[in-house]
Amino acid sequence: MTTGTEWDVCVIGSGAGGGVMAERLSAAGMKVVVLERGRHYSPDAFLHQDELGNVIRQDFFLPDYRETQRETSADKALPGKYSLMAQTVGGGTVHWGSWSWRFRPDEFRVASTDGVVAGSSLVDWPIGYDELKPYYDLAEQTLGMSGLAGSNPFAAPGHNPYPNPAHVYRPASRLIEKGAQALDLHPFPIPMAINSRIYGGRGKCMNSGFCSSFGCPVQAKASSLAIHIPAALATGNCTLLANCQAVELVEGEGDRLRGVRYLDSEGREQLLRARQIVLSAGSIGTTQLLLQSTSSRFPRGLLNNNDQVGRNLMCHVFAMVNFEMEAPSLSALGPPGNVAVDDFHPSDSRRGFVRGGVIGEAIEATPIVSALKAGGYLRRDRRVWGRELSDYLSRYPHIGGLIMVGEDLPVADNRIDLDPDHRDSQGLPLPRITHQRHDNDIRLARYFEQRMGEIARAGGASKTWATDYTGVKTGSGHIMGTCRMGDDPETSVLNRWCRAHDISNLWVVDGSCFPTSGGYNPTLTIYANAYRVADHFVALNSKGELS
Amino acid sequence: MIGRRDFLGLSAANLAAAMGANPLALATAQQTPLPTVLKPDEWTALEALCGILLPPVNGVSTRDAGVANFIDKFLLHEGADQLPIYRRGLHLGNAYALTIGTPSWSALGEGEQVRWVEQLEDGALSGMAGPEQQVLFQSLWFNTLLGFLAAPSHGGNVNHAGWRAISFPGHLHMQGGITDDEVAGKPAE
Ligand SMILES: Cc1cc2nc3c(=O)[nH]c(=O)nc-3n(C[C@H](O)[C@H](O)[C@H](O)COP(=O)(O)OP(=O)(O)OC[C@H]3O[C@@H](n4cnc5c(N)ncnc54)[C@H](O)[C@@H]3O)c2cc1C
Ligand code: SF4
Repeated sequence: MTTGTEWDVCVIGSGAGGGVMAERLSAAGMKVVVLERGRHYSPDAFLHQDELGNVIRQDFFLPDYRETQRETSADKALPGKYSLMAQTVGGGTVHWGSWSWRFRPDEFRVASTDGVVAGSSLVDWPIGYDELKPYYDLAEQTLGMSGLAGSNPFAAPGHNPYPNPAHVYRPASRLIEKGAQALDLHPFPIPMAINSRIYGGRGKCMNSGFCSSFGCPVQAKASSLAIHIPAALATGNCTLLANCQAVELVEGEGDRLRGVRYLDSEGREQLLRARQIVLSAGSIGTTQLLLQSTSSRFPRGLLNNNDQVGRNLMCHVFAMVNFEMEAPSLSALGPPGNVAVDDFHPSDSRRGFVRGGVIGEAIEATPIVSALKAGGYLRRDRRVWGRELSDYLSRYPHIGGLIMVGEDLPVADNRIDLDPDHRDSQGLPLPRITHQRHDNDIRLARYFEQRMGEIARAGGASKTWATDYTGVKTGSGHIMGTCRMGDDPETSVLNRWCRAHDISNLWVVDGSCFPTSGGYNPTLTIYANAYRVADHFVALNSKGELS
Repeated sequence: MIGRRDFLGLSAANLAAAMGANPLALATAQQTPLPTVLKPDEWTALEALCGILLPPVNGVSTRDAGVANFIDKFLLHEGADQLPIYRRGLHLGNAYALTIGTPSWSALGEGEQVRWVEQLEDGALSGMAGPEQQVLFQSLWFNTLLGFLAAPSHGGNVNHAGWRAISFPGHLHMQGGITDDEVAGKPAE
């Protein structure tokens, strides 16, 4: 069925990228429709979440989502839920941890900084830090960030003050701070998009622990659900269609799309017409939709004649060290983590790897996740049961943690494509994740494991132990790449404005445009980039250049 | 054999998929703490097994926390495809006890029980395929922890017994949250 309206803009996906685009374009007077495959929750629904549903089974935010995963193209991909990305209005920003950093200037110029690394597909971004800086400022204010500007000597320069003060340190944070200071490092409060006081019409954080992987019942945690989508709807120019899954981008005349075919909340097929289409379905959803949209002009999927769609999938590399302290750590309370150390961030190939990452106080304090890491504490893979397991669980109140978010290298063969063997309940092929870590990622993680153990011990921890997280792939939730932006249409999918090289009225604004992953959680950069693209979009529109 | 590392991966992916959403499971777990799929002898053996995998934590046992009930409801809904493996394994245990003159697995001495579980983990018991034993062990281990620590609505962690055992304060959002001073470790005024 075709609906009569021709919208100015159709935004597909309402997460970080889609939320900003919907808000800015509707605020500029364009008639915008947002298609979102997930449900539209009201915040009180988040009071009824629990660890089993949200973290282990993932049935709250991903009730019927599936994908397949394998290491290499020689392996058989197994179905499961691997990526943890919320399919809901607000996308991954609803259940994120909200750690929010600016990428450092060198993180936009990795190929120039570190040269060729065998087995990787490193490139520079087509944009630099200076171009993004005003939009970082804007995003930080809009999200109501808490932190202490200038407290991290290794951060990107020229930081404005954060709108809210940093969150308080718990005893585990103080141990980390003490350890870092003893080692002449520079600990500082993690910048978080969580209200440390009432701000922006949203509540103050209730310090209630169940935070990362959970929605926020008082909207203290910034999200597109709490900020951008309501602002878009308030303009009167935006219509939100929740529970509506886009299934095909439909080609029109010349190099243009005509509209989007989607399944409405009743599962009926509909066709929606729009002058401009903004694809913000996340690195996996965006790729899936492009590859599903085939035609005689694009037999391998839309924009994919150069075989670049889905490639260079990145998901960061993580390292994890827990520690035991004498006093109660209070790690189960508060927002996720509080203190960070960034001294090891700058790339230095003398360490045996390139690039770096940021160390933060770990956020995994929920009881089941903690229990599942008993093997690390007991330092063995088998016989992780009996009295020693009980003894480990009884230490829960004294356990704290450190986690490292590290820059992983892009690899061309790491990719999303469509699984020929597995389909979802609608009969659509499942997205297939093929991902094998570059050796550099592993070396980087091992180096940081050592440093984190040293910090905790210097702070007075009685015991430290590592859990190997290098096997975590898109389960990190940091899913980037797959539709690179770049100046060369042969080797990229989008231009520097996240506009498709091959289709003039298609824009891709989410984590998929990242050419490299940076050594920080990605979402503030997704937000800032979306503000940048939206400004450009509005400027072109007001000049009449978007027909 | 499934290593712990793989298991961490499994718990986040395949197991989660295998145990997908099922509102019916929640409803049944809330309705009845009595066995729904397990027979009395199976339930008793399961309770004893969970107690060996996870002996009391600060005096709170898996029986106090209703772990067997959690697993029973799991086997009724999300884990229905695992019920035959559980059944075979529990019967194997009871049959083993009989061969050494004990009426049931739960009546074995602790040392015997521990040795039996070690063999199950290694896939070395006779009477059941080795890999199947290991799947059962991993599932039992995982579900014992879930039954002890998952929210009570799922049928275990009765009256927050598991959370109290590890001093986890529970879902603080529902309790109105806590102050910055409390996070900082300063006593509330
Ligand atoms: C547990 C967890 C913790 C995290 N913590 C942090 C953190 O502390 N800091 C940080 O920077 N990042 C964090 N992240 C990552 C963050 O969530 C993502 O980087 C961010 O949400 C990505 O934004 P996006 O715009 O690319 O896509 P998303 O936010 O994933 O939005 C995509 C949206 O598109 C929708 N969609 C997909 N396909 C379709 C379709 N066919 N039709 C209609 N709609 C569709 C999806 O339902 C979704 O709502 C975390 C992630 C997880 C899972
Ligand atoms: S801990 Fe704070 S930010 Fe996190 S969900 Fe609770 S109230 Fe929201």
